[in-house]
Amino acid sequence: MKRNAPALRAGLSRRSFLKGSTALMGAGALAPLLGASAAQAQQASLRWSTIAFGPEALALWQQIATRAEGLHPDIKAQVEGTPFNDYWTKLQTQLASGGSADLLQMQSLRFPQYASRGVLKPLGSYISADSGFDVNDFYPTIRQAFEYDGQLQILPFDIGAYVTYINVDLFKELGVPLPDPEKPMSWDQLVDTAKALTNPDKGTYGLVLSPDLDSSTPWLWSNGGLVYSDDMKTAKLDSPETVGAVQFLFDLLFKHKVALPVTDLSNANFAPEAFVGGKVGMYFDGPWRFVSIRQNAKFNWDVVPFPAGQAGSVPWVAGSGWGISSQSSNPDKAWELLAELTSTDSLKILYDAGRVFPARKSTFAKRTQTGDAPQNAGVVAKVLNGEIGAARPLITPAAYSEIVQAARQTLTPLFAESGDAAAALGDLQGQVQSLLDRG
Amino acid sequence: MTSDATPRLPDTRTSGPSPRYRQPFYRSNGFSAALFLLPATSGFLLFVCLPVLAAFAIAFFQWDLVGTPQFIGLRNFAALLKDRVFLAALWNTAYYTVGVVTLSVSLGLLAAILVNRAIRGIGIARVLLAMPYVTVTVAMAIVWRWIYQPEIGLMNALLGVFGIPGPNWLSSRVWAMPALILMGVWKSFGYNMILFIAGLQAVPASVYEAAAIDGATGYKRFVHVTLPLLSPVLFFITVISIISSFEVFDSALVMTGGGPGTATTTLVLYIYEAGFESFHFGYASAIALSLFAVVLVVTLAQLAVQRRWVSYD
Repeated sequence: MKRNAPALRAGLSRRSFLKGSTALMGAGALAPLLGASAAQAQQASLRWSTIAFGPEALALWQQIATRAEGLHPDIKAQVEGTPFNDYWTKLQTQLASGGSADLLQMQSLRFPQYASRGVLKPLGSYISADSGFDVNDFYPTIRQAFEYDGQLQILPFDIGAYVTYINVDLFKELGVPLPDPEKPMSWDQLVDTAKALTNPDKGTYGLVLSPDLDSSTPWLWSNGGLVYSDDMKTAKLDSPETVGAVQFLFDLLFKHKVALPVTDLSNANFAPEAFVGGKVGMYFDGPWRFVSIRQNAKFNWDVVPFPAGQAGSVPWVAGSGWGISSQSSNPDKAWELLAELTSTDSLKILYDAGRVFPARKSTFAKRTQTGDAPQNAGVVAKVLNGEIGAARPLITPAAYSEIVQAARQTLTPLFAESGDAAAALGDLQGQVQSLLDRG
Repeated sequence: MTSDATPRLPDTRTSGPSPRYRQPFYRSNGFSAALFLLPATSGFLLFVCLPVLAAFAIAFFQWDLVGTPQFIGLRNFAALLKDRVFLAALWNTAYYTVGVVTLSVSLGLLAAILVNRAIRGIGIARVLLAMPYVTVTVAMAIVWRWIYQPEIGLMNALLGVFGIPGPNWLSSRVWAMPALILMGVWKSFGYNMILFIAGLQAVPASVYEAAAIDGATGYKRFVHVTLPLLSPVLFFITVISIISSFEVFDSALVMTGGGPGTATTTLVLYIYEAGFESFHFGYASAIALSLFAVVLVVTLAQLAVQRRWVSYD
């Protein structure tokens, strides 16, 4: 049902309809033929495939596409928006049939899976040939995440690092002092704050945890632990630092009892739903949650840095961007469009609409100030800039989705039923090592 | 015999068809039939046969859907035997199938006997019982997620009435599979009931009269008269139920995502994960082929033993 949802299409001119239906049939080879017969002028018609959660998001993409067309009259951008889950299935089938769009959306966590298969064009030659283009304006951490074999392949538009969301009203109601807006809490301070927020009579808890590997990784890193070594050859799940971090999370749940019990393992939104429910003081996630929490939280909230373990505050950085498909028949024009879609002003439109946290430093500096929560959004920029903590990109091996799956099978259940962190991680260590060995 | 062999009847061609005259192929009944069959047959060949054959072939390759497939012989199958998730999925699927088939067949039969009588408004009862079968699984799975919620769900509220503390159904490795089985039974027994009603109504009243004259009543009449006459329907339902239970996927995906751990990872869910999450299409095809082999063996075994208990008299 959901997986077969048709692509949302902006503007349904006869020409775009023809092209769209051609693409849907997977007959990518026909697209240039149709284009040649339909195009009157020497205009390059480019297909831009991107994730769109709904009509509003699609309208926003259309807005920056129209802006790019205005600045580059020789380019016609055809937006193809698809909901998140369908997007990846559609991308697979389009790539398999040779009918992919010229510009593709990519997420940094999934990027290596695709880059290793040569799906995207390296951007180095375009960047050096384009004198007006300053690649250093993109935060270095996210550029690192979108490099494969030392070559940047994606220009990011959205970026984020883990921070601590706080329910300001709950802190005030229970008379707990608010955490410092810039200095990360230590783990001891975190436990004390959480204890003060936990009140069985009122049904409040200090914090809520997400029981998955991605959400646990910043805790591992902040304790000096790792999932795998930086060269992605050795699993590090049984190191004392990693075990200590997971044990700390289990202690929050079962020993200090300051974390909301995890009662629904299969609901990926368990933690954010609990936070907007208003009975939980702290929650850990990236700025990509701003929009939904702004819409759903009926209380004042803000963000502060991710807590610091013995290795400091080390959240991971991830983001989304667009790149040029290696199947594109017009990569030069695709680059022009790509650079315009990720320009400072394009990203400003996206940020002001509340959709993204901009991947360019210059955009955040030029942003339009609104009264919307979180007031302390600047902390994200400081974390990304390395001014607070030691944020690092989450760079994933090709087998990452299987590693996440193995963790979901081995580690996740223990968040609900307690158990031996060291034994589970020892088991997971073997599974992840064999996945890394396979490459 | 051709028209050349009948020179004394030169006007055969104009005098219309005769038994001895072979029509040109394009005017024959066979050709017309083939034309009528063409749309369905080509669809079947193109969209059923070809993908099935392709799936067989892909199982011997390593393929990520984008790169060039690499032939690796039986290595996918060798890896399966050492894959503990696959073995767990095999066990889970068998567990689910045994649970759902026994319960939904017996409940379906019970319901059919209960509603197979001429009472005013019995049609409404039949419709209500059959309704779960025609609802969309994914939509119902979302409702059942709520039913199984430990604190606010209907199931534990009901158990609470009897003083039983209910478990956290979907997040418990022990109870997640029974929870899925229960929902599977609820979903499928209505269909079995409809088939059983048809079977019951096909039993001639004269047989029951004869049995009554011989002194058979109640339980004996059911075991010695109804059940044997119902056996073809029972056999059909069992075969169909087993096959559809082996293919359980959507409820596990929506309700538990295969967890906690691998407690509810079924074979088809694992095929989906291997193919569309990890991009190992060859490996996914190898799992699919194993599923096919299991279903084939089970179905053949059923056909082999049916002679002993199914009566078509």
